[in-house]
Amino acid sequence: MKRGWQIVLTIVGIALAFAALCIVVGFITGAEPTRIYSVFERIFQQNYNINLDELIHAWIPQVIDTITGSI
Amino acid sequence: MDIINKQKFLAELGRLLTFMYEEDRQTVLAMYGRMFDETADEDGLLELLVSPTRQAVVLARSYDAKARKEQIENGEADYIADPENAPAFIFIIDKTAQQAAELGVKEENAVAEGQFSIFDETAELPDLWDKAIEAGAAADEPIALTDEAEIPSRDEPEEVRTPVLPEAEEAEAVVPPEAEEPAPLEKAPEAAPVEERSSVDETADAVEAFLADFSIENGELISVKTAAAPAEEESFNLEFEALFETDKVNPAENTLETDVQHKVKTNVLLLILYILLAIPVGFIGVAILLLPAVFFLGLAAVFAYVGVSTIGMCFGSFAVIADTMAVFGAGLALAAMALLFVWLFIWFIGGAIVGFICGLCRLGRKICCKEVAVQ
Repeated sequence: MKRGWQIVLTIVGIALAFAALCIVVGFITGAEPTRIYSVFERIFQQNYNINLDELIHAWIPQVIDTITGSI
Repeated sequence: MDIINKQKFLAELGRLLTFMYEEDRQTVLAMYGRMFDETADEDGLLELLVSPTRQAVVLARSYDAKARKEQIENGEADYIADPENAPAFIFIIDKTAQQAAELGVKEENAVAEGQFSIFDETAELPDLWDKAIEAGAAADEPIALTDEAEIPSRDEPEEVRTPVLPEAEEAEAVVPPEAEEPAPLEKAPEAAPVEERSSVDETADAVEAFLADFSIENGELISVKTAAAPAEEESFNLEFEALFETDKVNPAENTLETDVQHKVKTNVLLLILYILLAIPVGFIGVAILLLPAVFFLGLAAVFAYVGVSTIGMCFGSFAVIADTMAVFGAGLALAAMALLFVWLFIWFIGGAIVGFICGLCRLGRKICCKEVAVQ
């Protein structure tokens, strides 16, 4: 089990480091969150007919209501 | 020993020689048996040998257990094929056999002219005899057994010549009080490093001290104690025999430590109560541990799906390479987190839950069972 932890943490660490490097390099070279977000929104509307903006704005209050109602 | 014949002599001798390795014991018994078979005067031979106990003492003084062990381990134990490695006790028995032959040989056993005889051959090898003397056998002295000086003495260091004997405690128990005085043979252990001395050596010291108390006068084996009180000879011999009592099953192993077995005693009532308590506790514990396991599994599924989807989308949907790189990095991070959550799920199932169940079992064993040492 200890050996498993070592292997998994090593892989995850390397992957996260590489991911961070990609994100940093991407933003340094001109990536823009608004553009990325708009692309995602378009893809979701096309593929799933979901308005991502509405989904997020509706989902968060719904989750909060559910949690407060259960308490 | 009032009435003794060949069978009794050999049986008694075999019982006393349990300190020897089995191969050596069988060889000695075979050689003494041959002596009886070949002699024309059995009574005379018995008179010459005096008693099995006496012969055992003579052999014990010349028996080098450590050297024999090394020979056996090195495959050099076959001294008939290789007479140069013949141990000292063989020469002593050979000498006795030569003396027995002077009493007369049965006609059917008489060696014909030109017939091969192993004893004749050894007699023609004085250098081997000298080696035996160097080994501490003092074998050039005839084994007439009429004087103490004729018994091979053991002046060599103890590590060179050590008979294997039973437990030190037992040996000390049977050593007469006089043996506590520093005997000449007790100097030997000082020469050897203390840390190297095993329990076998310590036992050998006790036996050597015991043997040092022997004196042979007028052909009779007596101890210092029995010299003062001859009537106690019988009990003394019994003590001597008890001293040489070893593990008869396998004396070659030299295992002198007491066989201690551990038995587990279970408190059945306590065990039943524990099981009654442990089963519900176990179920609750497993259920509690299953909740985070399932939670991590769900998280892993979500992260894996989103991560893989993101990585899949980033290469065809974005026109700017910088956006692609940033989205690929995010997807990779999500996939990495998914892997971590999968591992956490496995750890909860295989590590935490199984560990919890094993811990309950161990705790039950600790509470309900006790190990008791049984000799």
